[in-house]
Amino acid sequence: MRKRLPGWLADAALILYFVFSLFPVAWMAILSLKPANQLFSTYFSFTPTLDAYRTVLGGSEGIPFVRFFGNSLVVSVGAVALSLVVGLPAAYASARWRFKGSEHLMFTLLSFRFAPELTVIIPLFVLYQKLGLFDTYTGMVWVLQLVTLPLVVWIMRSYFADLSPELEQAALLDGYSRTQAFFKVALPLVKPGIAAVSLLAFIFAWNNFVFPLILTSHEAQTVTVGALSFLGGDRPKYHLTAAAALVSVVPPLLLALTIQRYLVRGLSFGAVKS
Amino acid sequence: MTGLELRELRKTYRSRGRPAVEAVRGLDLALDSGELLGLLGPSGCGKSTTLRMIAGLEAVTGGDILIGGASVTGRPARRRNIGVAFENYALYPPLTVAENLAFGLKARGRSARGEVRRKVAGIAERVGLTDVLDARPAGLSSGQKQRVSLARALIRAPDVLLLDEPLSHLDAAQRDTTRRELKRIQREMGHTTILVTHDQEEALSLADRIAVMRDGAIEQLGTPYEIYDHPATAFVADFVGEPAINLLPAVADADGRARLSAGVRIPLPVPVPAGRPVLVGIRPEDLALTGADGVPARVVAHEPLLESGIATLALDGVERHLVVLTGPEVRLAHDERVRVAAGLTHVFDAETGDSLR
Repeated sequence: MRKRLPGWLADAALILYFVFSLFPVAWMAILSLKPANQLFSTYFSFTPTLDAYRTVLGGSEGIPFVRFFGNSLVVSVGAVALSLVVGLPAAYASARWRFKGSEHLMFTLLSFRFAPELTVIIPLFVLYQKLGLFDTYTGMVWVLQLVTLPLVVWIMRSYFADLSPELEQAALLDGYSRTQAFFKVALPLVKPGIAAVSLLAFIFAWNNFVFPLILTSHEAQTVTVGALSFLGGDRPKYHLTAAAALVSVVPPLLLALTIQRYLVRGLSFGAVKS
Repeated sequence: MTGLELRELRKTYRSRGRPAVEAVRGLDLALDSGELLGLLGPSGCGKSTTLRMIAGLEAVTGGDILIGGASVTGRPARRRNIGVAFENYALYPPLTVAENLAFGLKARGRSARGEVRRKVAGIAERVGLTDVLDARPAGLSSGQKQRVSLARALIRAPDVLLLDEPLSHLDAAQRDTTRRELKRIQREMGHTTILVTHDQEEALSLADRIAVMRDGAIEQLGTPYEIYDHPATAFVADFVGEPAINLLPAVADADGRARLSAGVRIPLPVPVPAGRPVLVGIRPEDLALTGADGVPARVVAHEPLLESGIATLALDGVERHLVVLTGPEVRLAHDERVRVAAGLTHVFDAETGDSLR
């Protein structure tokens, strides 16, 4: 038998880890509340000010941060939505049928996740320039499929595979079509999975840096790249970057908190056979 | 009601780099309207594939399926009007029993709400589910789940009913009651039914006729009594009956007896040319222990049951043991004599397994 840690020691370890992992966030929060002239002081006495937030959100540095934020929302939501529309039927098909080349296709999809984005970024850049997709929402939503589609297909595939095919077969015998069986029987049963995978895909899409860095300039630029624009110029404005970064974690955080219930159930689904 | 006919039904699975597998090889079967046919066989014999082909869940490689005289082979599952009670019940977890039953009716649409409610109530009463109509499948016993599954198949008034191992997941007590219920409901509603099972007891007790399947073909088709009393092959004899039949290799003698060993000879029911290798089949209940006459034997094991017992006997010079249905008490390691009931012996060709009777 394994001995368990005494309660207080476990608590202490957890608190230590909590402090350790929140430290960078706390440091950024402090940074974002400092006035510009006290940025590089390492002691903690300063007059807290919301100036940095006002500057960032007001766009007074000539950097339209609010638009970047909106861009991030549009392309991330768009990417997840497109991935669900395309990926759910694909996941269902690959879970239910073995067709010619199905495993190769699935592996190719998976390879998008572990192939470094930088290996394809230059050809993509050239293509996007020629096709007129450079710095557009369409272009961003499309390229983010490399990030979100494999997630949706692979995670949802295991959800569909865990469903007994007899449920849909019973529906087929009742007179439902294949399509109806998919929408009325299979899909409602994987709702927790859809919630979990949407959130995951959203976070990955939101956090993506390389694609918007190379494939957008001003119109479709997202927060991850936009937050860095405050570091340019003659003097790097760290407090503005910190404020921008903190603002930009709000949507994924809110989303995670609201669907936490689904998330825990969703991600542990399949791990434990019922 | 309508009959069901299978003509030369075939299924071959082909996959690249592997030899083709003939799961079902030319099945011919005809069911009268209202008949319950048991498709009995070990796993992998093609009985489930046959069921799935009839239901339209599996493509047919060759042959024809006719319901009420009309071919349905080219029709998709949803246009065959077949009800299936699945082995794992296939109930929809988020819906109540009543909603599960109504789900099948709603597929074809345009059923008035009152009509649906009336049909659900009607079928629930038939199969004894009225009390649990508002429960969800997770809260039901497996016997109840199986009845919901049956009701779900029946509510659409299908032409043909298919039962896929309906009792295999039930415990012993529920199996008995559910089996009786199943028989009653099928008799009352009069559906042409195919019961797929690997359990010979289930087939013997439920079916009007039984088709014993082996390696994708029907080994024997007949009433339960025909199958049991006149098995066409050694395989059928071995598969049907509990405890299993004694099958002993022997050689036919000139005097109309089978020689099991130098000292053990058993009379054969039919004349067999001398010197022909055969398998002698004797059911455990057709043997009796006697003090006086018969073949000398020694008891090596005995399992007492309540009113009977099963004894395992060693015969002189015979490699295989003999299983005998006995009384509850038998003295171990005691020399007995075992007598074969006259005329109840079976004899099969040792090579082909075909009955020589």
